[in-house]
Amino acid sequence: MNIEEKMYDYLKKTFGFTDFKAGQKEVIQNLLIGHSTVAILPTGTGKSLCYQFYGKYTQQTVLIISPLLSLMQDQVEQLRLNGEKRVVAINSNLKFQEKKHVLQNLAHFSFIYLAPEMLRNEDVLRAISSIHIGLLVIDEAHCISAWGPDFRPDYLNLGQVRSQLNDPLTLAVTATATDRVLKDMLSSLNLSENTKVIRHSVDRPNIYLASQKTVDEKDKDNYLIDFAQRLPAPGLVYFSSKKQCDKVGELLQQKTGLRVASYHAGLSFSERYAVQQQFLNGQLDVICATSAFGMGINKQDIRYVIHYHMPQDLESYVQEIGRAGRDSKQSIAIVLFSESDQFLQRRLALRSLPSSDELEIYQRDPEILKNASQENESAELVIRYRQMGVAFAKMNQIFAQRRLEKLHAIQQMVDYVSFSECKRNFILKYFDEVNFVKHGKCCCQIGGQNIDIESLFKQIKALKPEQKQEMPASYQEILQKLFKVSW
Amino acid sequence: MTEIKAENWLLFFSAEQARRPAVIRQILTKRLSNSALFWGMRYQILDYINVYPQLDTQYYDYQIDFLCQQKKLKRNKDGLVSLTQLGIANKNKLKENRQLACPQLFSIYRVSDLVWMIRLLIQVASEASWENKRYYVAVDNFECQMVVKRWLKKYGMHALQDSLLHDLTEFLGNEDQLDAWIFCAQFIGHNTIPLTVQQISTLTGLTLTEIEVVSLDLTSRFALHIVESRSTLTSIIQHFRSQNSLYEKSNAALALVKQGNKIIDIAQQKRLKESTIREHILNAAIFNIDFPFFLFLNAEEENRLLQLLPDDIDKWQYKMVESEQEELSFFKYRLFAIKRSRETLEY
Ligand SMILES: [Zn+2]
Repeated sequence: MNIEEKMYDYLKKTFGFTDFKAGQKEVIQNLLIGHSTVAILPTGTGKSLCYQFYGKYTQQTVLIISPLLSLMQDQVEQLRLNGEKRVVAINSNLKFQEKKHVLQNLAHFSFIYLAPEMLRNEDVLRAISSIHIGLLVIDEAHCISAWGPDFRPDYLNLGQVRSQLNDPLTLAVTATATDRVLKDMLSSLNLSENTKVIRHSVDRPNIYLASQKTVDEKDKDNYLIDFAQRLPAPGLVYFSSKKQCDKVGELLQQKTGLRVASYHAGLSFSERYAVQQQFLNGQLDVICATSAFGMGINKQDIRYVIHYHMPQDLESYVQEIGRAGRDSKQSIAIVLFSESDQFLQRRLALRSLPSSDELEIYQRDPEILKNASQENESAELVIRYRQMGVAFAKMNQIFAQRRLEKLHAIQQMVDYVSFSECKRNFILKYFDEVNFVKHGKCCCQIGGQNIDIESLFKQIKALKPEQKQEMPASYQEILQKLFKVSW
Repeated sequence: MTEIKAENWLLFFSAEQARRPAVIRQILTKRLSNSALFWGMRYQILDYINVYPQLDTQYYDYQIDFLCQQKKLKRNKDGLVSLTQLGIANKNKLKENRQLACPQLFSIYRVSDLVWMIRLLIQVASEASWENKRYYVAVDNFECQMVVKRWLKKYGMHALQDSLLHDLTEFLGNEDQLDAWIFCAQFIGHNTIPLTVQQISTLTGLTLTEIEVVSLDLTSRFALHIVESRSTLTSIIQHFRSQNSLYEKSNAALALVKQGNKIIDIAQQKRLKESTIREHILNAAIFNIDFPFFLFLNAEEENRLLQLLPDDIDKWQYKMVESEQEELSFFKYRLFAIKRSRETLEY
């Protein structure tokens, strides 16, 4: 067998797939010949399979730096779901004793997920330096760039950490990156000239793009109820707040009779598990979620993603709608927006960053900074920069830049939802893609025209909401099924 | 645990006896000073020690204020709170809801951890029953995972499957059919997807709090059943026994006293303040039905105290006997209050 045949053989044997998805094979091939790689692949193309494959195939330890706690948990859960036991997540959730146990036995694990802020911990750094890392993965690598909307200060030091680990083979993955962000990624990580960049279009042709202007929340609720009744299930509805997620979810269930559950970080682990599993198993029609949901979830037949609030930027929007239509069948993405959405987003964006005045006060009085950091995230950010040795003047520059970037990203989002021409081409242009598409009737909604759901989905039968959840078996039957016994 | 609705606190108040909300909170969260224990005894809520360990102080205070605004509770000038007519009616309605049958178990075991432990045992046993080794451990609790691993090493998987199924069927056979179903509907297992609390609530028409109460109630009593029936699973349950240092210290002090030691000697021996030892002894008086009051109080002192103090023990204040504080210390005064309470309250 040549190497390619071996790869297919291994894919079938280990993962149960007969073919690679776009980009996966190229990424793995590059890694196997020892080239560090940047993979810019859209959501749903199975970026994590690339490093899982490499780790298992070469039987080497993979260290994955992942910026979002929920994302990390999702991926760890996903791996465990596939029967991988030698996987661990090192993050602030880990209790002291647990962390000690993990660090002492680090060599035992094949996949180590690490939150970037843990790299500031001496014990953690020492432990990861003491084992052989076969592959270093930087997940959500666009967070490294101050040009991107998701910039994470802890990512600033990754280049240094990488050299501390003796420049291991590196895979940087992200779903979206403009040219500017890509350049930043390469230089921050000290990746050499011959680093391979594998990039696939963010375009998902089977997802129809639409937006719906509304006057207020009541109006939003009505549109949402109407869409959910007319669209084929299953679907996802995203919210910016937990409270509204629960409230609107309940309303939706009452008004439509659909099987609706909400999902957010406020739920207990077992509740989240139950909702995920029910959704995967077709026992739910709609999930109302905050962005915590679905990063590792691989459900092929999600027909629609509706955003109840306008997202902060196109990067996260494109990621979130990417969960629809992985089976390549017709799907749709709709943003419900009202004038007040952009003010909310601006307020949220500005609140997360300290102003020049605040910085001046913090610089003069460290005590004030310390107290403020207990309660507000912008002061906490200052502390983190200080710990990384960033001077106040430099911070001021960075934050001014970040504010501009965030406001710009929100403006782009506003422009997108109210764009009077092809929305798909708007997205492609935003991500510096060179190929544009020809607009057609299954492409997107132009301006404020009505969304013709019925003709878009004439091939797919809408689910009738009669399928009421019935009371499951008696407790005796539950036990019999659990223990595979019969009485 | 779902957030407790304000309404539920009505269960801990009375129309006849004005109560201090803080004492109730201290009992529920196991913040136990001797004063909290004494008043907990007066309110007859000592069985509820540690039932809501995660209760948020601020939120609880806000909820009590809210109930006062709703005129279900009223607050007197001393800050003590009692039920109004409306409150009584609401409390009576609440009493028809599901309640914890053995709240005392919450001070003995870490019941909320036992919920996860039992779910993990079920999942492990279920997957093994279907001979599946590749599965996702759906209980994200390191301690529980370690406990089950250690147990399996000693007893093996078959023992787990057999004991668990046996114990469960034996226990649930005596339970209300619907409660047993609520308990089991949250189990995770091979091709068995649990229902959420919200879904169970919708299906049964019970409130979210009631669903939580049923889960906690059956978990605590199932644990007790395991221990009492001397199941092989006992060691797992015993791992979750609460550290009850307060109780142990009190009993240790009591034992030394019974051997004839003086408080001052015990303090020296333990390198503690005398006042600390006295507090331990006061706690022991509350915890132990056969506490030897005569070792500290003689008939003459008791008579004197009876003369100085009114009939209603709730109205007692130490300043009423302060004129004779040389002879009648706060320690003696409090001991007598405990003794009188024992004689007048039903236990
Ligand atoms: Zn178009």
